[in-house]
Amino acid sequence: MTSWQDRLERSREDVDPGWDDARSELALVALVRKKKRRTRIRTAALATVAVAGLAWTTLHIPEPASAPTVVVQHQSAESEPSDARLVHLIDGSRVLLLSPEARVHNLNQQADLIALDVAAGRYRFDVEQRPSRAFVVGAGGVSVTVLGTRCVLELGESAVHVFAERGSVHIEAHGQIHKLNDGQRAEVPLLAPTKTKHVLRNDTDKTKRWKTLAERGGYDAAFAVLKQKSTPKVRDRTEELLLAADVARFSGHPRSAVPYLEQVLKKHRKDPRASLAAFTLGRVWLRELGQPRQAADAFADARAIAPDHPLAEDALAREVEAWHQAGETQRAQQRATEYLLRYPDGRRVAHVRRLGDLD
Amino acid sequence: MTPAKKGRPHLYAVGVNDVPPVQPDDAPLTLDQAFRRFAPYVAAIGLRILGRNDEVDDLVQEVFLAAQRSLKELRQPGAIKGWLATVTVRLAGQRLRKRRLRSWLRLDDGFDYEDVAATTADPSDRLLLARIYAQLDRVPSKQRIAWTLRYIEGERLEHVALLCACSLATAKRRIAAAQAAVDRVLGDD
Repeated sequence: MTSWQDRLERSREDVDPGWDDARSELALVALVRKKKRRTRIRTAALATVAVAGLAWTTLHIPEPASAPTVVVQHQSAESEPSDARLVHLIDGSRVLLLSPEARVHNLNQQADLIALDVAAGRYRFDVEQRPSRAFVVGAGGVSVTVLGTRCVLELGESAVHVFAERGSVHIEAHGQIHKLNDGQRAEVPLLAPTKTKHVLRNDTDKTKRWKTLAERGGYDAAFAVLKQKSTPKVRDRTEELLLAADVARFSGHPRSAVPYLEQVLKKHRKDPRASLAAFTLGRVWLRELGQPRQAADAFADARAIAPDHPLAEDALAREVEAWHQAGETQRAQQRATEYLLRYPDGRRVAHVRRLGDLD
Repeated sequence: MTPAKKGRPHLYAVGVNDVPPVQPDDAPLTLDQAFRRFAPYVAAIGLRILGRNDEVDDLVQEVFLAAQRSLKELRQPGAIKGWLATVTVRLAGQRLRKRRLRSWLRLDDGFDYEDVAATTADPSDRLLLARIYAQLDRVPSKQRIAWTLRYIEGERLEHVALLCACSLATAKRRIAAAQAAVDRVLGDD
């Protein structure tokens, strides 16, 4: 085998879509929706053919002049620009790139959040209505949370133009939040204005503020508020600690997420979400902080807390990966053997065999 | 092996990575059950053929929509995996052909394949994969798929031929043709 083939053999498992349970559930929802839509289209098409056939028959059979003909009118769907490019998201939402320079970056798709950044250009967002999922667009430092189902955004050199075509949006810029209702437009300058025409209500409840920002997907702003000295400490409650950890992670401060996750494991081990906290901590240590030993311990903890949790299989596979990265080949092999015994048909069998040196 | 019905695809002919029956009574799987069990597998094949993770979700949905009608007809649920692999290869091929057409019409701006491999991969391996996938974008889809199945998915030649629904000789020819294109970027690798 040539050297490039050796390398492909070695890196084969690295070409992995990262298909986890959350992505699977979202894709299944989209699949069911697509199936229903196609059934409706097929039914409508059959009905159209049937009616057209009836109309043709009616026109071609000699009938008294007074016999009525059936006329069916269809309203065509709203047409899209012919040169628009499409980005399909896993929850069924779409991003239409309406100008040639339009680009989508940093796409982050989770079960409870879809976040993306856009470059200069014009975009239309067709957003599937899901109350439990935030849809946040970053445009030149302006954060737009789409609450409705259609929003048009244009990022220019000096301003962001937002049109809430269907439903409302929240625009977060320069430390303030503006709401656009159905049919309203806004122009948001990219430079912080020296004089604001609209003064937002002064929210002195800092705890409520960072949580509200986070729940709307404004993680950068939420982290900024969280770190202010005047903000009270995050309360020792699982949901608040997990939310604070997400704020830290999604705003690009993974190390700041660690204490929150560790607090959940220290004080709330019996909470049903503790295993998820351990798993998330493992991912942060491994993927974002490059600390595989700590990651391995966290993944092991995730399984210890909830051995039958749906994440347990993935936690064990990642523990193998972590020990492998730490250079602990014996431990990696032991965990790999355990994985193969527990999950002989597991999704990560090949990956685990390679990392555990069991090939 | 039960002969296929006349005019129907040979659902039992593909034995790629067959798994034991998933249910004790060999009852056909529902779409939900099949999806939950095999979507990760389809996604992995899909990514390795397409090279673009943002296209994988659509492909997975299309595969199961196409396969759902046949799920009830499979008498050996253990053959579902192989059947899904065949459907995945076929639909991924359609996507690749559309992509080449869009590229020819200057509607596809290319793709940065640096992220096709996980961030934990060796950096030089990541670069190698990025270069290979960029080059594969210039190769006809049938050749690309055959080569990808052989060298990235790691399939045996006989299985490549099965999945591509072609003869062994044709599979070898396609792989060789794609290899000639890939060789240009491999250089001294």
